[in-house]
Amino acid sequence: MLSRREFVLKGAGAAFALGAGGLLLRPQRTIARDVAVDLRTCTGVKPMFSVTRDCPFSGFELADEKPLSPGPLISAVTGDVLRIRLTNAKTHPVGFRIESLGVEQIVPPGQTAEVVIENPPVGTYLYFDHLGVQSILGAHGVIVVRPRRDDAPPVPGADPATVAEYAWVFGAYDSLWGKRYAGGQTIDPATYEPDVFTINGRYGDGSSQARDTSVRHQFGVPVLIRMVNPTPLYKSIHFHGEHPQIVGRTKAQLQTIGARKDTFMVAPLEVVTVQLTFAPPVDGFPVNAPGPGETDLRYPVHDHHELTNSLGGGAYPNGMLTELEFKT
Amino acid sequence: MADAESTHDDIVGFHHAPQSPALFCAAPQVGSIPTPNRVDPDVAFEADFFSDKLELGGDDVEFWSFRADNGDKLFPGPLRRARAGQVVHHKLKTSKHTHTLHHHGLEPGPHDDGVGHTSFEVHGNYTYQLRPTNPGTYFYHCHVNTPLHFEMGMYGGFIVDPASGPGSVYGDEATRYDVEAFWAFGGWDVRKHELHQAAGLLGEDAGLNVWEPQYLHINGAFGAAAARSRRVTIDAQTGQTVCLRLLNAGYSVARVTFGGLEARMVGSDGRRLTSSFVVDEWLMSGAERYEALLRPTRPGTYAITVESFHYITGRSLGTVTGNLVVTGPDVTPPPPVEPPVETPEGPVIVAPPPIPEPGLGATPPTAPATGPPVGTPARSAPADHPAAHHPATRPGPPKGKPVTKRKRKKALSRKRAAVLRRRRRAAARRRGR
Repeated sequence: MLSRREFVLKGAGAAFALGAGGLLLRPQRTIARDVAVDLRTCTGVKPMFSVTRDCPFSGFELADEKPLSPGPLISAVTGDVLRIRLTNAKTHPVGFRIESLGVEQIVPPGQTAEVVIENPPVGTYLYFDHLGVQSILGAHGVIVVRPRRDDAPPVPGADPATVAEYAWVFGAYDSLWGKRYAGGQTIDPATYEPDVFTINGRYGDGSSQARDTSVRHQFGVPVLIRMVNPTPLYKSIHFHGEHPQIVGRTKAQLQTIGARKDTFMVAPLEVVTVQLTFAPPVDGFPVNAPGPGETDLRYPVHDHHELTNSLGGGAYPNGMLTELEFKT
Repeated sequence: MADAESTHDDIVGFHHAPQSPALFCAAPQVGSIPTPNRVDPDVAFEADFFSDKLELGGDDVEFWSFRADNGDKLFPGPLRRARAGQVVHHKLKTSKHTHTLHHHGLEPGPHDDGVGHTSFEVHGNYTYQLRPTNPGTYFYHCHVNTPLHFEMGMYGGFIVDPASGPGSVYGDEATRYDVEAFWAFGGWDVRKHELHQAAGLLGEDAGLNVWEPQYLHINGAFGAAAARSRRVTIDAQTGQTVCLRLLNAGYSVARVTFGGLEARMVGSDGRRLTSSFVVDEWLMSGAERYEALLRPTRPGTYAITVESFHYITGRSLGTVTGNLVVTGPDVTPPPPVEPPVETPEGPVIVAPPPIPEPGLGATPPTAPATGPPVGTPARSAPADHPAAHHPATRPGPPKGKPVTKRKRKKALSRKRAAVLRRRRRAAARRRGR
């Protein structure tokens, strides 16, 4: 186990590489280096504003002992050596799988395991506890690997001039499950009925305003969004005011890669990457004429499986939605 | 090291963007609201709200939708269409509660986008002004307390034809069609149809996170009724191209199978696909739209099925079937008109085999299916909706020029002549050797 000092020194770039949110900066690095990540399993509680209950979750934490679900965003560039150490602080075994990278481990209670990935390929990868229902309880996160060269597109097919990237990790928590888990009770998988729906752990106004989920740029700015769905639910993500281009997807509807769509499926465990051009919305008349009181053009982005726009069975719109804003 | 420390905060992402100033009054707008920048429209429609009850399984189930121009009560609401470049006015008349009209897939300014929480809710009248640019298949729906109002039936199709008019989806030869149909399919969870229009808005648990539809429909024809409904059935002749515009109006994924026909998918969500593709079935998520071109060459009844899946477990909720009835003699399959192909700009980053059907991925749970599948077909589903003829789906007269027997014969004889010529040349070459 690395000490905090060793963690910072030996794992040069580790701090750079980690974050709970999904707003990504372009890496400015030219040499390969170790990216060391110390994760620890944990539990936490998501407050459910507007309704009268909370939602305990299972997640990951860093050295700062701040429970996160989704877990920290791990960022690397090609050529890096990615070392992820996972300490199981729970009383039951936990799993650690990285989808599409062939990584799968089981860590007994109280023990630490290390995963080393040399020269990870460019892409977006879901990591999660693959045992039982832990991932649905919140034990998941995302790894983003970008090309070493700054002038290369962040993913194949994307605009090399992309100036902002986001990683959105969807969540669908069952607050009753969370309570049972926190209370040490058994969970019957057949009773899953999610009532908290999130992007990067937030919902409603939280996800609509947060810097890592809401997307606010000037006209013409190329933006990339990587969407990761660790939930067992199919998502149907709808953009108002924009038809993003699907530049990559990993599981379903592969024929739609390259298409511009306002609504698209994100299957369970799938990664879908879309490019936004921030072209002015085209169907108004006159185009771009502001309405009363408008200074910028704000639109919602949400799941069109509309159940997920609720919180605790109501409180619309307090589910997994965010905002797209064209700054004029 | 400096960059590591200085960028950490930026990436962590717990910062909140400065609050934008409130752009709109969040309260419902009562009375008639003026449309900004209003001009005289090229096309004008009304979305006149009504509520009614439909008998399903012996129970009266409340639903909300919009009247046809002649006053008929339709579910889904009336199909609207305009041509690219036309200024459209769509006037919402709300009756006694607040609603909006969002034209899904069209991109007007926020004040005409019809989203209650980013613009305003309408209590009275409001005329949405748009000028659609891109041909394709769209739809409109209420965007107030959407998990409920959409479920209750407040939606209808909206087709944008190319400026040249109907007959081709995107205005070119490759997407030309002779017969056209619009299918909106979904399901009703009747438990929600007993709720008040503002259910859940005060934070109470109204069960809006659950969708367990008992009845599935195509164009409002439920269960077995869909197979004989004139709002669903498509009539065509052999050799014609049928454009089936599909909208998943449910809250989960659904699979459409094309009755043994190959479907060429040419467009989706109001945009031409960069590369069309051929499938015999297709999985769609909620609110996606696709245009599928079918070219039947043999007469018969083709059962086109829509199978819906549970939003959590992925188990089948049942299947609704609509028919494509094809008459006429067998014809030789017409050569496909390939649209211009643009290769997607890059390969898939990571592409494990596609999953063939909805499931739970690697993570449990899988709830056991309990009881018989619901929704197919409803035991006492009505023969049809009271508003019997939905203009949206009645296959109108074929558009474009029908392929005549004489032309087909001529084309065939040309092909045969070419084959004979090739054979004669080959024989001559052999003799020469």
